[in-house]
Amino acid sequence: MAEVKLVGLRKSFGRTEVIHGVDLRIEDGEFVVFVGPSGCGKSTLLRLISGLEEATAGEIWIGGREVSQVPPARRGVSMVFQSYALYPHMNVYRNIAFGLSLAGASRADMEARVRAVAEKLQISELLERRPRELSGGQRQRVAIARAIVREPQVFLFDEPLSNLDAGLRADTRVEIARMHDELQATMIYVTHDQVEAMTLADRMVLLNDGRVEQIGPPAELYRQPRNLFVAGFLGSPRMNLLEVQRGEGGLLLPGGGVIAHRGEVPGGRLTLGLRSEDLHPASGEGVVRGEVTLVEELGETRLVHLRIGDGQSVIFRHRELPGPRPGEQIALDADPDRALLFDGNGERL
Amino acid sequence: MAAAAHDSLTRARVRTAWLFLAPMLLVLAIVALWPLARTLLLSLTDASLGNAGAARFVGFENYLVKEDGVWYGLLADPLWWLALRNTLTFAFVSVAAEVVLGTLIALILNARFRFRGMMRAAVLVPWAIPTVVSAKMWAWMLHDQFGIVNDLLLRLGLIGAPLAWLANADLALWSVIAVDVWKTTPFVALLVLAALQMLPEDCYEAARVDGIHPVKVFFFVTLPLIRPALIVAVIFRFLDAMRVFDLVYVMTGNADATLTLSVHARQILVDFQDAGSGSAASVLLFVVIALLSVLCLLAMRGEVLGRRQ
Amino acid sequence: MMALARAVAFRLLVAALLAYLLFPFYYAVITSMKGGSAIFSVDYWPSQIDFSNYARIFSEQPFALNMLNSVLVAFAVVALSLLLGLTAAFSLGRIRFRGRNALLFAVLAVSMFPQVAVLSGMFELVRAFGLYNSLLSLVFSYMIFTLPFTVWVLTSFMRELPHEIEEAAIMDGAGPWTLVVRIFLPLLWPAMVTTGLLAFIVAWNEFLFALTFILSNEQRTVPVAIALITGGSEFELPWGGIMAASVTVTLPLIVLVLVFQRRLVAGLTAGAVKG
Repeated sequence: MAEVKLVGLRKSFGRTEVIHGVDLRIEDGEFVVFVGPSGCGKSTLLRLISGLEEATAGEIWIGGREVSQVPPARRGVSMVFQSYALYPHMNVYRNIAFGLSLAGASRADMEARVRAVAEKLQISELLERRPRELSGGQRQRVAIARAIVREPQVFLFDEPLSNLDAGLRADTRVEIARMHDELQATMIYVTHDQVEAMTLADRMVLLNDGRVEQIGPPAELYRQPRNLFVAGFLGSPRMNLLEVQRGEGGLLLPGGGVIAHRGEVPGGRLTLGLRSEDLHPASGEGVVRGEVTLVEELGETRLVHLRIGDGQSVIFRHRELPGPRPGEQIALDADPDRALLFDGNGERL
Repeated sequence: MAAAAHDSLTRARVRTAWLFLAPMLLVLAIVALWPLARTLLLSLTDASLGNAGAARFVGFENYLVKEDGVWYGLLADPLWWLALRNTLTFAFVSVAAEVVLGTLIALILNARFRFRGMMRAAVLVPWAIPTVVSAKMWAWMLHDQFGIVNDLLLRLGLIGAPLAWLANADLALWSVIAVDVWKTTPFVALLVLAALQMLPEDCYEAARVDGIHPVKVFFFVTLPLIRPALIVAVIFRFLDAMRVFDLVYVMTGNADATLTLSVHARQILVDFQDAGSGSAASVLLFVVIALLSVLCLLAMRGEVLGRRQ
Repeated sequence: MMALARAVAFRLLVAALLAYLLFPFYYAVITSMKGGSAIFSVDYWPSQIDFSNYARIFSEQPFALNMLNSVLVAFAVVALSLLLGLTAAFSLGRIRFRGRNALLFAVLAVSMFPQVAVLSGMFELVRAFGLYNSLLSLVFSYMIFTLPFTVWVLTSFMRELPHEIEEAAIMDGAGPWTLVVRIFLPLLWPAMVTTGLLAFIVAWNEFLFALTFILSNEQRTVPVAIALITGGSEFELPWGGIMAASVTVTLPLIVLVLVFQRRLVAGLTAGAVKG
């Protein structure tokens, strides 16, 4: 097992730079998820670590060894691909054994290791089958088995669940988490799905446009986003972002509400961030007032869309029954401690 | 520390690419480029096929030279011009016929009927038959005394007396063209059929709903849509037809009436053992085809640009 | 009524087309089975079944040897062009490098070369290598036809294979040769069959080089042998023998084509290869 360290990593395709200098340290045995909008460079970063792409500048350290000029197979990493990338012309056994046989493992050793891994992933009965005779979930297991059997120092996952249907995806997610507990291996996982990212990650790396926006445990990114981008990317529904002004006793919201704020407040444009679950119906005046435009019933809770003051809209999560109806006027209170304030550059204060 | 060179893996991959290409490129260079270069060089000498060693450099004499006020060389030889005319006639007429007939066959093959599978297999038969064999088969069918074609036409009363299809200078070229059309139409038909099968169904349904006549549908819907495939087929076939050799040589030998540029060049080169002049004839054919290729490419580019606008 | 008339007309059209496509071969079969003076009468239906023409081409001519020569040359050409084509297609279809498109274009340009344009140069080479009157001269010279389309078709098929499978193999430690032999070769099997078949047909049918580089009857391939069949005497018509030979060399080809019909059509149209 090994730690992974990226130093000043850059990648250009032709003249366009897609990774603009990434520094990152992943601890031994850590589960790190790269997340971000499509085109943010998360997959490219993973491919740089795997060696399938070559960095334009910078260093990649795996287990104390600089590997940026080492061929993929000798970096001590295994990769699970989005399409599983099983060899269609080989049966499951040979799919799993292929890497071992290329590495020159003895027949007995190979057999023992393949059987052990197959046992662990409950695919022992499938060893003779061809990939096209397997279901999506089974293929996924074979792909994971192929990665495990080489006993790598680091596992790389490139959106491994995106080809599965919703139910299977949740199951496999749990299984990957269990596998991580069991193997105690360093794992790097790329996804665009924030639920996957939040549930699996020890730490998340949020990327945007080839740069790291924030690194930290999921709850930290959720609760203390460093800037507007992170705040807006994580959470469903999106965080409510309202333009506010410095006023007497706190911050002035559109529609006339005031919310208390501790600490220094600079001049210039200010944005207030409130998550939908941090708003609740007020007994009195409230901080936000508006007309209900839409109610999305989710069963246990419901999302209520509110049009406030100057045409901006706010979404809050309503828990009690009965829910409000469209057209109703509602006042909401917000917890000042949960409210986030961003300056004109989008940085959190 | 990181190596100074930051692209050793990429460079290794590119090196691999060239390594894996090398055998193919080497063979192609030996069988194509080198002979072509030698042919070019020989065309400027008076070499004979037996001993190219004793050759003398003669400049462009094989192509064109003026001696004592008279022009000599291939370009002054009426036979070369006749071969050029024959070749162009052969290429234009046979390709035109193949495209029309091929499109018709493709339309039939694209229709739904019971024997479609058999029909598709039958189309491949003329294409699979070796050229020499088709030449011989047709030469026998076109035989002036015992040929079935004459027999059939006489029975039907279309001709009064047997015709010498291959010996008569007025008929020979057309006979050869007819055989080429028979043999090569399947190739065109298959290309067009592939294009037809990629056409969107909904256009046709819309046309059927609107009650438009099928012939009109063909000219205003189908034809514009399969145009690119037709152009590719025409260019391929045309450049191929310009090189025609086997068919003509086997059916009519070196006869003037059907003499094509390839047959003419081979005759000088092998039969007359004149490597210099024969190479010059080959080079001229190469130049003619290269020019036509460039024209085709330009036309195709114009077509593509025209479509974009 | 109209519908019926139209259906009948369509059937007639199909029948006429079938007759046009198949009659010459049918007529060659009938002719090949005519012995003696029956050849002088025109018959539309088989008038006799006499295999003496077939017996004669094998006894009076080295036709069996000619067939063997053709088979040897064709198989060698197929093997060599597939090997060279596959490795080249790996580079051209899978690796980005400068000049790749120019190379592909150059390869295509070679397939436009007129055969006679390389004839004198090739003749010299064949002599220099000591291959005159040897089958090897044909294997070697046929590369000019088969390599360009083999490279093109295999490259286009190679490009369609998913990238992730190759990458998985690279992660598993496969080098370029392993990739080609153990991953791409099995996956490209259908394309290899198609291109191999096309190369086989080209080699089986070639005439000009075989006519020029081969001198003796025993070394000849079938197309030349057929073209050069003459009667026993000046007054004997050799057509029975010619047709017997023609049918003999064409039958295996027709069987091949019918068996691999779909694959062939796919290959022909994919690469838009010349016929």
